Amino acid sequence: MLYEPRQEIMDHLPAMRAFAVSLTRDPTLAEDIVQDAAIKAWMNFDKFEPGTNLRAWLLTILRNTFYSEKRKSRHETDEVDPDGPQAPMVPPYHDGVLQMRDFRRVFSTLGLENREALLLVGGMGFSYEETAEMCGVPVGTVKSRVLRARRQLAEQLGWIEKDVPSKNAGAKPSGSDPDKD
Amino acid sequence: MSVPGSSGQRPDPIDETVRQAYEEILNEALPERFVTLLKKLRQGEIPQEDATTDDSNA
Repeated sequence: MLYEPRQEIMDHLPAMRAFAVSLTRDPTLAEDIVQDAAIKAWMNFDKFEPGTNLRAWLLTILRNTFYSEKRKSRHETDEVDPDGPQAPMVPPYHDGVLQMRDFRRVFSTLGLENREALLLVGGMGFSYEETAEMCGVPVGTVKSRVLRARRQLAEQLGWIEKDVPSKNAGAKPSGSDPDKD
Repeated sequence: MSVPGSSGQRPDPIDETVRQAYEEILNEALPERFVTLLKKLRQGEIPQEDATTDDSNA
């Protein structure tokens, strides 16, 4: 069989699926989105610039697909309000040992944009610059989102004390992101 | 307030845990549907209803 460059897309399906599951928190929905994104990438492979990061290109298509679907059915896939009553506030420790299941539950309470940024930078190892390009936002916005996500997780996991706002605090307040939607 | 590990050379413990959680999902077996999908794509059988929206502009 002749070498088909597009088949490299399939090498990235596990990463695409893991990213999608983390975004949607629903494996079935995630796999639907991965399939749609893989087909789009296959059909539009001529738009991929050889020598650039194929995984980043695929994840960009994936997240575009995800957000398109989310807009179509916002009532079904709306993210959990981290301050809302449905946020699963669970004790993250069991006998002093962090349980990954508990971590995932706390992680899922992060806002979508913060969760996505931390996943790409902290979980998948993309640079701030790559993540900014993938998400279509300034690098500073990505840094703010990652910092906010880390802080929220650390607070909820009890690794640090909750930040108490003060009038003269030098730290940015959580609502200061100029690109916050 | 500082987040442990966020400003030094050592990996941030939050990032490290996120990476572990991501890798747990990454290592799960891919569903059979993706094997079928690859076969169909190789054969030129592309479900048009899934490919009408172009989200490929990276």
